[in-house]
Amino acid sequence: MPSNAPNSSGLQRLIAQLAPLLIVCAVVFALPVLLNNDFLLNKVARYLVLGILTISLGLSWGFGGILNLGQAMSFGLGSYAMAMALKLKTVPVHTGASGLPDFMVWNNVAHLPWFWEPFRSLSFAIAAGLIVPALVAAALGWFMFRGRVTGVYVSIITLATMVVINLVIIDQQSYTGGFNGITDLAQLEIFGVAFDAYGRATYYLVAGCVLLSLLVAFAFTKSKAGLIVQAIRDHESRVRYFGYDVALYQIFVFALSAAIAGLAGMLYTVVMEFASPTFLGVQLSLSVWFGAPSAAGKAWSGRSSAPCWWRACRARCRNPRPSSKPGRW
Amino acid sequence: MDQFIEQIVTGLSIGSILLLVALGLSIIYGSMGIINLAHGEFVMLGAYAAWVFHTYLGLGLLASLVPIFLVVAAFGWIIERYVLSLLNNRPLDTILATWGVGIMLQQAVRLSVGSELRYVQLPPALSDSMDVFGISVSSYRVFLFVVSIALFGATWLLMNRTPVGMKLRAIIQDRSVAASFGINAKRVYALTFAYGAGLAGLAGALVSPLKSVSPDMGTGYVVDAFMVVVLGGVQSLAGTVASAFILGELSGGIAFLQNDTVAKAIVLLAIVVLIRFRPEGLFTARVRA
Repeated sequence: MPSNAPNSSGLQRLIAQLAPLLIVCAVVFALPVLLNNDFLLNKVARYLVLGILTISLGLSWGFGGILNLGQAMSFGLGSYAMAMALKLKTVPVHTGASGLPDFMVWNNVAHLPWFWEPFRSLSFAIAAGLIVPALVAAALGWFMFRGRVTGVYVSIITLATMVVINLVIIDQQSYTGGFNGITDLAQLEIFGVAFDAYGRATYYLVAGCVLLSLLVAFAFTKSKAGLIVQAIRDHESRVRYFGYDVALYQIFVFALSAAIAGLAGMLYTVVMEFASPTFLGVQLSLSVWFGAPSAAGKAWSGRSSAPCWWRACRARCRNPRPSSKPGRW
Repeated sequence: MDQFIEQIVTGLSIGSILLLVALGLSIIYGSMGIINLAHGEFVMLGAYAAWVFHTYLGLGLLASLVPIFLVVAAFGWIIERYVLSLLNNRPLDTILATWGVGIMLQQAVRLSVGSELRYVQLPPALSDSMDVFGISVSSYRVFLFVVSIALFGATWLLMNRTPVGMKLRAIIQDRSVAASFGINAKRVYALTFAYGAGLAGLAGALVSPLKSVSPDMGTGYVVDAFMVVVLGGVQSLAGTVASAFILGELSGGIAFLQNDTVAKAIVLLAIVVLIRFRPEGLFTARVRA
């Protein structure tokens, strides 16, 4: 029985690891009280969303040791899922009862394509924003890790795959809005609460998701599977000799991290009020890595400390993205 | 038939540009193992240097090639000496450091020169077209092809027939043993990186008349260059050449059948599949680690 009961020192350590994380979340939640400026609040919400993306990268890179340069792929897929649903909500307003988004009308599309149809349901879109990135990542992970691809080759494959999806989105203008992305979106509305990008509700939604993804990531790293994933990062072949299915664990952590990135992408659409191919561009994907080293670099050395999560958030907040470029959206 | 030859020539032209950009990266990544994400920015610096030399000093493109090589190589030397050599044996940190350097260079150019597009004139002597296998091709593209092959030849000679190249190969095989024979690894690395950066600068200057010059032009090139180097196989210069022309022909051909975007997507997918089954690249002989 002593092996079952958490001994007091273990519990203390858990609390000590959770405490900084919860303190930061408390600060995040308290911020709107101090900050009476909707514009700044929207900015902070945007950085928090990128913080969630960084958390997801910290999970796959810092804990899984998967050198994923294409994290923005999952982010962008989530973002488009949300944007498609919100776009369809605006249809009666913009293009009459015929029910086509404006850019499809401009591109002479006569009927709503089949893959847009289910996005009339918001709950489907939210589920898709999590599941599609996870499935894509799982498929890609299966493809890579079953072949024991490691290190820099993983990064080249993830980067190239992301660029392919980016190119396809830009190329299929009549179905995806092409280079302009999907703009003029309706407001997200869940259970009668409208989430205005510059409102408090959106900020709390984002803050809640930060807390949620931190807790999910934290719980995962404390689980047995999380432990094995860290062991794989530190010494892959040794774990394999122990009889574990290394690829399976890698695929799982890769998919989990993609789902969290998808969540971040959906929130990003809500906060930014549009979706754009730049959301899964090389620039964004690589600049997330700026936020990650403080998190992942620490975990990389084998010491997985909880503070690295919030450090990831903070580092991300301190490093806003490079200024926008001409033709960015 | 004419159309077929035209496609081949277009592919060769795309391939020679790819080779120009990838050659420097092949040296830096293949021999030093540094994933240099600032490579695209070196290309961008070279293009801007061509523009500056032309606009402010009135130098033609051909006359400014050597100074451009030296300027960008000096940049590379400084970055190796004061950033990368301090991060020895930490490949992940060098990825981030070079990406950071790249962003700084981009923003520095944006702040000093401005973010509007710049244009570099074709050298007047090469602005006409000439006959190749019965079809008319821009002389400048032929010139690019010749230059890319010549630069490859020079690099091959440098690596395989000079004392510096021999030292570099010794260091690649075993750094500590090479050092114990009195080879100054730090200096050789700095020179190698500078040479790779200089090649990237040359590439930027040479493609600048064909494309518009902007601060973020490098991002596309660095991805392309990595695909070429990885496809060709690390530590294989000849592989880099072959893969550059294979990719050039592939993208030229598919672009003719479909369009540029689809071509790029399909080529990238092909590379992804290839890496999965042959991560060491197409043309690598097994070398001792």
